[in-house]
Amino acid sequence: MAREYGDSILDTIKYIIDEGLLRGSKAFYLAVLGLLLMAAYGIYVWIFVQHAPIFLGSDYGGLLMTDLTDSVAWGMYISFFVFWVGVAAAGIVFGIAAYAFGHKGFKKVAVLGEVQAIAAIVTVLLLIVVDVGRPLRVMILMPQLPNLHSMLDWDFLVLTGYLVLNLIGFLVTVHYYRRDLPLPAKFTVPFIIIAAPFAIGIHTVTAFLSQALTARPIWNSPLLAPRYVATAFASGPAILLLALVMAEKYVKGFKVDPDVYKKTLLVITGALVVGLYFTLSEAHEIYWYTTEAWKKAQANELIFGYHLPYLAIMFWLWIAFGVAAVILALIPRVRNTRAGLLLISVLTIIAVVNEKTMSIVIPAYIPDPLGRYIPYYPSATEYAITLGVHAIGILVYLILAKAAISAIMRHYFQGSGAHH
Amino acid sequence: MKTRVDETRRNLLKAAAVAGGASLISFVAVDKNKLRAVLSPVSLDEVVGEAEAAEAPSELERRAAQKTEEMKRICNAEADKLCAAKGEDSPECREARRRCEMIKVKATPAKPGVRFAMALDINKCIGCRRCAYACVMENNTDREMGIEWIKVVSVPREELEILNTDWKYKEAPEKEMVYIPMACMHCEDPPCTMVCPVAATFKEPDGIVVVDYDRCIGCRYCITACPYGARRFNWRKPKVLVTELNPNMHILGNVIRQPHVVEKCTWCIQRTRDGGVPACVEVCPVGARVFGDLNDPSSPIRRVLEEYGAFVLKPEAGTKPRFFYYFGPARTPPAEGKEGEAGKE
Repeated sequence: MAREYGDSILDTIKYIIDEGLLRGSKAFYLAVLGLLLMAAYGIYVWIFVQHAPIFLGSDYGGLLMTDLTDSVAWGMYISFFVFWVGVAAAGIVFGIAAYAFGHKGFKKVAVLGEVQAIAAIVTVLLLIVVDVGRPLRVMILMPQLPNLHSMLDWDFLVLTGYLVLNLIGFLVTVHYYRRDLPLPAKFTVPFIIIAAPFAIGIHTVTAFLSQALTARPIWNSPLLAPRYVATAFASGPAILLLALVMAEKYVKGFKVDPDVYKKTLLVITGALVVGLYFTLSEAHEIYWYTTEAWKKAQANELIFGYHLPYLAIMFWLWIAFGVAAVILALIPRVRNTRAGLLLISVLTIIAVVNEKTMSIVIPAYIPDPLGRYIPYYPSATEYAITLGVHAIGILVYLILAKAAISAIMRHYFQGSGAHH
Repeated sequence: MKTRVDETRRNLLKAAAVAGGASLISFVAVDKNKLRAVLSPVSLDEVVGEAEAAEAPSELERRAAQKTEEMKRICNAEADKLCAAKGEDSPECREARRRCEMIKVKATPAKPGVRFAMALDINKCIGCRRCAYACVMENNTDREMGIEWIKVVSVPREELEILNTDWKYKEAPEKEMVYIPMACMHCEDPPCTMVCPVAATFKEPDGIVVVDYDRCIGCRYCITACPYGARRFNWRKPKVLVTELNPNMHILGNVIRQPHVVEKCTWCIQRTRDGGVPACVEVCPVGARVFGDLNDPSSPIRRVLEEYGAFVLKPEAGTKPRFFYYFGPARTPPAEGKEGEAGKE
C-alpha cells in the first residue's frame, strides 16, 4: 500500500499489474503456478501434437488426434465455446443494474462483471484458435471480414468488439476507483448503451451460427437463440454470485449489499424458468405429434442417448438440477442463507454446463447427413487442450479480479464512497 | 441522490432514443444496393480471377504455375524416398519419376454459358462402389485416412429416407435395397459457401462448387452446413502415393492437399473443364450416371430430365441441388428373381 501512483492511465496499468500480480499471498502464487503449468501443457499438446503438421510440418499428429470426424466436425472446443460466450454475455447484468438503473449496491461490484466478461471472451477466442485447422490464416484473413454473409465473421466482430468494450470498462473503472473518485455518468451512460446490445449480440450471433442450418435439423429452430440467451442469464450471474461470496469470505473488509444477492438470484431463477420452459416447448414440438424423422432421430440421441449415453445423462442433469435450483430459490429459508445461495448457484452452473456444452453441439451431428451414427468421445488431446485454455481464462480472471477488488476497496470501503 | 439517479436514467433514455432514431433512419433511408455492396466487400471475381480470356495470365494461372513447381517438389521428395528403398531401376521408381515429370497444374476457367449437372439412375446402380474408387484414384485423395468424396449408402426400397442407412454393406446388389451414391450436389444455393468465413469456397460460373485450398482456415463450418455430408477434412498430413499420382491437376481440384483443409467433389474439374466427363461417370459399369451441360438442349442430361423426370435428395433443405436422381426403365438386379433375366419393362 506504500506506493503512490500518479493520475495518468499508464499509472492505472501499473496499478493493475502491481495489485493483480505482484501483491499476492502464498496461496495466490501457488494457484498461479498451477494454472501456468496446466496452460503450458495445453499449449505444448496443441503445438507439438494436435497442430504438429501445421507448426512443425510433421507427418504425425494433426487434428486426427481428436475424436472429431467428418461426421462429427465440431466437438468439445465448440461446446465450451458456446458455454463461455453465454457467461461473457451475462457479465453485463451487473453493469445494467448499476449504470442503467443506478442501483448503488451493484455499482460497487459492476466491474467484476466486466472482469468475468474479459476472462470468458479470452477463453472463447482461445477455444476457436485451438479448434481451427490453420490458425495463422485466421489471423491474416479474419480481420479483413471477407464474407459478411457468414455468421462467423459477425461473431468475430462482436466478440472482439465486446472484449475491447469490457477492457475499456475495466480500465476506466479501476482508473477512477483507485483514485477514490466515482465513475462519471459521461462514461457509464454511453458505455452501457453500447455494451448491453453487444452482450446480447455476442450470444445471439453465436446462436445464429447454427440455427439457420437446414443441415442440422435439431438446431434449425428459431428458439435456439432465445434459449441460448435465457440460460446464459442463469449461468453467468450464478458465476458472478459465486465470485462475490468468495470475495466476501477471503477479502478482508469487502462487503456486498444483500440486495445484490437478492436481485441476482431473481435474475438467475427467472432465466432458469424460461430456459426450462423452452426445453419443454422444443420437446413438445418434436414428440407430441410427428416431426421430421431426422430431427426426431437427433432428439432421441439427446434425450435417450441410444448411441451416446453421456448426452442423455447431461440432458437429464440439466432438467433435474435446473428444476432443483428453481425450487430451492423459491424457499425463503434456503435463499436467505449464504450456504443456500452457494448451493443454488452451484446447481445452476452445473445445470447450464450440462445444457450448454456437448448436449447442444453433439446431437446435431448424430445421425449425420448420411444417416450414419458415428459416436464422439473427446480424446485425451482434447481434454488437455481444453483444460489448458481454461487455465489461461481462470488466470486472467484471478489477476484482473484481484486488481478490480483492490480498487473497489480503495473507493468504497476505505475512501469517500464508504460514506454515502 | 434521488435526482441524480433520475438524471442518469433520463440521460440513458435520451441517448437510447437518439440511437434508435439513427438506426431507424439508416434502415429506411440507406440505398439497399449500396448496403449490399458494403455487406459483401469481396466479390467472387476478386477471389478467383475468372473467365475474362485476357492475354495476361490471370491471378489463378500465376498461382497454378507456382503450384506446379510445388507439386513437383512434393512428388520428387516422395519419389526419392521410394527410389532409395526400392532402387533407382525398379519399376515403381521409374513410374513415380515419370508421373512427377508429367505434373501440370491447370487453372482452366469456366466456359461461358455452361451449366453442369449430373443425374443418376437409382434403378441401375448396383452399389459396387467403383465410382468411389475411381474418384480416389483420379483426385489424389489421401489413402491412409480413407477419404472418399463419394459415399454409396444402401437404403430399403420401401423407404427412401437417408436415415438409418447402411454404408458398410459387404454384398451388393440385393433385391430389396437401393443404392444411393452421394457426393457434392453442387447446389444452386450452397449453404457451405455462404457460411465460409473467409470466402475460401465458392460456386464457379459453370456451377461447380470448389475449395481454394490455399485460403481454407479449417474451421469446418462448411462441413456443418452441408445437408449432404459431402465435405471431407484432411485431419492429418495427407499421404500421397506417387506411383498412383494423377499428374493431370487443376488448382481448384485434385492438387495434393495440405493438412487441415477441407476438400470435396469438383465433378473432376480437371477433366470436365477440358470437355471430358468425371471419372465416376466414365467408370460406372452399368452406365447409371449421366453428366452434361444443362444449357445444351442436345446434352444427355437434358434428355434424361425430359424423358424420366427427376428428383433431388432432401429438397426440404432448400439448396436446389444440381445432382438429380431418377428411376430409369430397367432395374438391376431384376425385380423378379431369376439371374440373367432382363428387367421387367
